[in-house]
Amino acid sequence: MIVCPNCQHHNHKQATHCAQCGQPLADAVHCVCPSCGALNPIDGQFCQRCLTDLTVPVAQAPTVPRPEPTPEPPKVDSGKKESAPQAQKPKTPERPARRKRRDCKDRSAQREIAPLPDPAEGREPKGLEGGLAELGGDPLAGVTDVLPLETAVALPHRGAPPSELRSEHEEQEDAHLFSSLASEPAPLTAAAQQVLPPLRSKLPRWLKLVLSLLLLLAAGVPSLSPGWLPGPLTPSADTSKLLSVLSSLGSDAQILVAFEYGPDHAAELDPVAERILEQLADQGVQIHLLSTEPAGLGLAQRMLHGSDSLQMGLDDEQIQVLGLLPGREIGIRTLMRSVEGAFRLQTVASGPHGTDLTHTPTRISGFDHVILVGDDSRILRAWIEQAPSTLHPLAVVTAQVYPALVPYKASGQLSTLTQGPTAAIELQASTSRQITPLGATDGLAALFVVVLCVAILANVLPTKSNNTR
Amino acid sequence: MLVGIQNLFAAIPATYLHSVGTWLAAILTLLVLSYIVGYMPLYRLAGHLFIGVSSGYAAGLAWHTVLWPRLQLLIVDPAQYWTYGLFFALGLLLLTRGIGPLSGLADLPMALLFGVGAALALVGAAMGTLVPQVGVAITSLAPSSFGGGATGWALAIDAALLLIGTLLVFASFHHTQATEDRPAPGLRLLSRAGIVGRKILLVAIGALFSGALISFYTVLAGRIQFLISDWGAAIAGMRF
Repeated sequence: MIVCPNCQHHNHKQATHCAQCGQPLADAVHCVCPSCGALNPIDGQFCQRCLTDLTVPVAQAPTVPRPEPTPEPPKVDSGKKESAPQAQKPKTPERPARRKRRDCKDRSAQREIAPLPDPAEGREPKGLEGGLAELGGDPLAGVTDVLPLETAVALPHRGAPPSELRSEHEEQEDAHLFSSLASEPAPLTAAAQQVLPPLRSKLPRWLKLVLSLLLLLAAGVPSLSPGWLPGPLTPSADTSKLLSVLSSLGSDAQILVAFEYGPDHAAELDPVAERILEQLADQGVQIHLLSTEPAGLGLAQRMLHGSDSLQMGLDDEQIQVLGLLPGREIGIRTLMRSVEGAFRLQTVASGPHGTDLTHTPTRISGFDHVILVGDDSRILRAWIEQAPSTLHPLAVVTAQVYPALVPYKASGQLSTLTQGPTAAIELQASTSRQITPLGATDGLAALFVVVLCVAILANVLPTKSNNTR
Repeated sequence: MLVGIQNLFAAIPATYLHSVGTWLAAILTLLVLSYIVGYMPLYRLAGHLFIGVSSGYAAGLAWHTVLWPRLQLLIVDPAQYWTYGLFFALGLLLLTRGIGPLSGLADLPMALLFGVGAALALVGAAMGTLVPQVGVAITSLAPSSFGGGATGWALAIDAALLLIGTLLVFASFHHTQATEDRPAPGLRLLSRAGIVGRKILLVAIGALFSGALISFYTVLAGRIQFLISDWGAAIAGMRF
């Protein structure tokens, strides 16, 4: 319970304003730092913000007005009933020097204790027994009034006895101890090393540079290798199935290709996407392109306009860029319900931005196959999850997301699942097209060897230096 | 103005544009690779360029392919396409997020967006992932179910390993400890199985990480290949 300093009304312990007069009660439970103005707990000795000693006399901190000292009534502490002599220590006028130093505490104490019914007002303190006798026959009546105030003044985590019961010397010792603890740097490093294993020392700068250059060299090996190792890889089962599906398409087939990757993985997925589009162009099927990401649509258009082989193999009516499909799950769900609903633009002659859907199936079931080329497992999962169970897309993904999608291949939700670089090499080999440098087996083998060496160097050297140290 | 820019680019020969594009791409690639030396302003410049260009491209594409055609529909035939007006109004309410007194109005479209999206994602995850994956996990362990013979036995062992691995990984997420007053030998067995399950989990995470590594090195190799072949050809073709 908090007593209002203005009207003496007893308010709830958690009240912020007086229920009777509306006076803010913040000062009743906090004291203001004379240095920075921060609110601190009433029994705090140091400011929580600037560590100013809150027990200094008010004369040194003129910003905070010091109230006139008033005689403090005897305080009855239920927890100290047995130590009656100490609890009954008379509040004589010899104490004002100390009370000046503890200005904040005393102010709040005055506010909270002042409105208590004090039967001994104007009389000399008579000790606990005398005070109880003055209260009447029921000593608990006085105690129940005091207890809530005690809990309001003392914070729960402080088990120290009331300050009136502690000597000046003890408080000074506590203050010095707290001050030294607060000013010392926290020994967190030693503690952290007890809890966590010591971190491996960082590599020197020159070694980092050398390792990075080695990696660059390794990445350049596929372009520089003269072709020592024979032949590309044998196509995997999924790539063979993908190729057989693409080869079996008739000229009236409708294929939906979703470009779900960005420029950061274009080097990995562009070759296989280009091979797939070339194969579809050779078959003479109707191709429809879309993407749920703006970057994917840009990459698709760049491929259509930048690839000479595609421009030669495709005519304008054979390929249809449906456009951007925003909204991820919502957009894909809309597409699954109605292609026309997802790209409802054909009713307006909107010039170059319009999409002609006259040759596009109105429903997703109208497509013979859906090919997903993606680098984001979340988008690919959204495609799989929002698609009807009868739709089994052909997926070509990066090596990064391949393991995350293997379960969908195992459950049959994906018809085929191939990795980008591998599929590109295998498709190139199967279609007897020109092998790009990335598809050279010895280039990849050399890359693997160099990367393995760099990985060993980067991991073994620091460990060895730690052990020798 | 746009037509003027288009005419300007159309007047430039395609070979020049291709060369400029190659040089620009090569310089930006080198700027990004300068991170090897350290976190330099050149790298930051490339990063800012990438973010700015991709954001601008996304905004332009969204306007041209999503917003503008629907706005045309609304203008041409508002009686039929009045729903687009509703959607545009909701979209405009989103813009009030930055206006203090009106920021509460943005809650309605946000609630719609997240509510519908979350509902679709939840139902999709349940019906598209959970149910099919559980259905696949429930499989026969009898070799005869896989055709018998050596292949049947191999597939049966494979299915058994899959089942055991799944159970062990499930056990690794069990965190109840046996106490002295409740020894619970089942819990001890479960915690030991969980240790093995965690190892399996580590192997799976390692496979994911190795896939990411292959992906990144493929991208790096692609960039180096571009520098060597395309940029190299552009440099070789220059006339001094």
